[in-house]
Amino acid sequence: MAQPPLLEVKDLKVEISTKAGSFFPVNGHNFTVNAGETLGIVGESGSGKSMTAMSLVRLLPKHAAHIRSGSVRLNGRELLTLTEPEMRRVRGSEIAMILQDPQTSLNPSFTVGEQISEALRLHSPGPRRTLRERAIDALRKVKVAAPEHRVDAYPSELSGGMRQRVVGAIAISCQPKIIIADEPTTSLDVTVQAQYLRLLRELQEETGTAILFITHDFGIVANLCHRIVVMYLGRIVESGPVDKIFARPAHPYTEALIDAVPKLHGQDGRLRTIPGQPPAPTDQIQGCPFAPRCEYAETRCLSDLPPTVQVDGQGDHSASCWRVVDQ
Amino acid sequence: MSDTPILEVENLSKHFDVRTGLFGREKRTVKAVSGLNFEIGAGETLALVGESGCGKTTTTRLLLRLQDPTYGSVRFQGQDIHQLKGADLRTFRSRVQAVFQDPWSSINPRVRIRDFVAEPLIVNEKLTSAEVDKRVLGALDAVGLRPADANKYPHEFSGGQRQRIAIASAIVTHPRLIILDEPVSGLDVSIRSQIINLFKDLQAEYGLSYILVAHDLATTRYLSDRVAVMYLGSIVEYGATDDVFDSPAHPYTEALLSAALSADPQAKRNEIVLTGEVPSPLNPPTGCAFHPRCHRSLGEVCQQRAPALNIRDQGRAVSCHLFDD
Repeated sequence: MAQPPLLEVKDLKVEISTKAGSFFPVNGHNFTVNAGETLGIVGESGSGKSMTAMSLVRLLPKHAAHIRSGSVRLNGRELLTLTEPEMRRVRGSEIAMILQDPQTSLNPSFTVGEQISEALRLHSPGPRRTLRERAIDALRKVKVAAPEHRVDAYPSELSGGMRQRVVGAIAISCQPKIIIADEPTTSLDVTVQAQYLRLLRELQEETGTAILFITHDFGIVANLCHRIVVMYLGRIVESGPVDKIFARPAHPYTEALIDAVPKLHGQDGRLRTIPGQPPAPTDQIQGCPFAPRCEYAETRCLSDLPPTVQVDGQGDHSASCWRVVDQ
Repeated sequence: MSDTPILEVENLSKHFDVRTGLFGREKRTVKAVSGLNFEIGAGETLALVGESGCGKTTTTRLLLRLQDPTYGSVRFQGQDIHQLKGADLRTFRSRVQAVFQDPWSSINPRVRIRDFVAEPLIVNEKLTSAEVDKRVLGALDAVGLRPADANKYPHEFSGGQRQRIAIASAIVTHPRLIILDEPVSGLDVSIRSQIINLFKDLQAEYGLSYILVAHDLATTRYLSDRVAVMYLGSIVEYGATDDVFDSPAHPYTEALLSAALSADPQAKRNEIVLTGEVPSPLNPPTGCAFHPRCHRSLGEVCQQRAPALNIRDQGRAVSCHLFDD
């Protein structure tokens, strides 16, 4: 890896203050995304996946959530110190987002073409006629059939899969360097999901854009991502290449999660379970956040937070667990 | 499974009349479900698999007698459930129960767990309050909750525990059949396997039969003995789960399975990506409903004639012209 990473996140901390107390949904994140790569952020609800994504584009809920420390660099440029107008130029043109529900990301009272042109107009203005042409172009890229007609359609006239393609068209219209996709296929049927994931892969090959894919689905991770980051209660517990993590998960949480998912090719016996449930984010936890549910937990796991260490000598696989430290 | 099935479904169909066009002047029929045939033995799990709009939900509503069929019948322990009245109907209601997807909306937030779980007993069976209490505590114990939980309110529980409460209320009447409608899709991965194991344990202990509706194919494979694959209101393939998953016959089953992502980066996939989406049941294609998306279409015959569900060996049935003799 001679090239510097496209996106570099260092020691990022986000604090949320509520009446019930304050907590860190993003607690000291360190990760990188390289150009043309897909990084998966995996975790259960409440692990802080979406808060991580929102903090990268600085769209955290005002007043409630604050970035406390750290740095987010895109192509070497620090994003956290940009002014709001500067940041607005980054959103959409350099970092694009695809959210879970196309229903809510599209405006029902504007045509598809108008909504794609809006993004284009903001980031690379041009005459009205060419905007329309470019919107049709964007629709063609996301494989919407008959884009010349669909450009004048309203979101309600399109199916769920088609709408998510339109959101994709808006995302790629300004040729972003990185797309953040937050569970974009959750609302789609299996066969439509397969179409959409193939489309993302093809777009990535064509344009070389990086993708940060947020999901709880290990099937998608295994098929789409190059590297993954596993989150638990606001912390990254393991990160590395997808093949390595599936073959030899280092953190007990990752291991248990992979084993808890039934396999498509069939299996006998009981599924592995993780006892208990994730603690509430406001719970004060000393030591390793997973320790209360971990079958390997020792006394020090409950009192001391394990550092993040390399799993093997190759430098691309790390985990935060005392068992790995001792190896 | 040689003994008589506990549930037999014959030619079950449900059509809805809808008005479309300007001011609803045009009347059309949606065939939500047409001509379903299947049966379930004691202690067996049948899975209904398919995408949105394939008729899974309508089917479960018909089986629970929440809706009457347009034609066809559902027989539970030999009796046509849509003819039942009075005491027989109440018996049916306590013998057939359901667990739904969202444990947040299926439990009344203002009722104590004890009362929520007891409700089906109080409605359907005549028991003294001591007997009701005993059954409620027994059901809570069976799903892994403590007796002290009986006096709590739903908000005191997490999603996984709420689903346990919903299951407790489904088993409290000692049913023979439980309809599981996406029972784990609302749960986190780490909780999901706990609930899936619980379903298996309860089945082993009480000899329950399940009808499982799920879109997650790996869960379906793990839990079910037989599977019916549905597309646009009809069963297109039917058979033992392992057979169907290992060697799918219908092109739709094949595509559906290839679209399911295995949680294993090494798994080799023979990816069949279908074009288009499921058509509207208001305006279904002619001939085989699947032909516009089919990667193995034979052309004219598929466009013109709807294929019949042909029974092949070992209880396998496929509805596709590729298998016409």
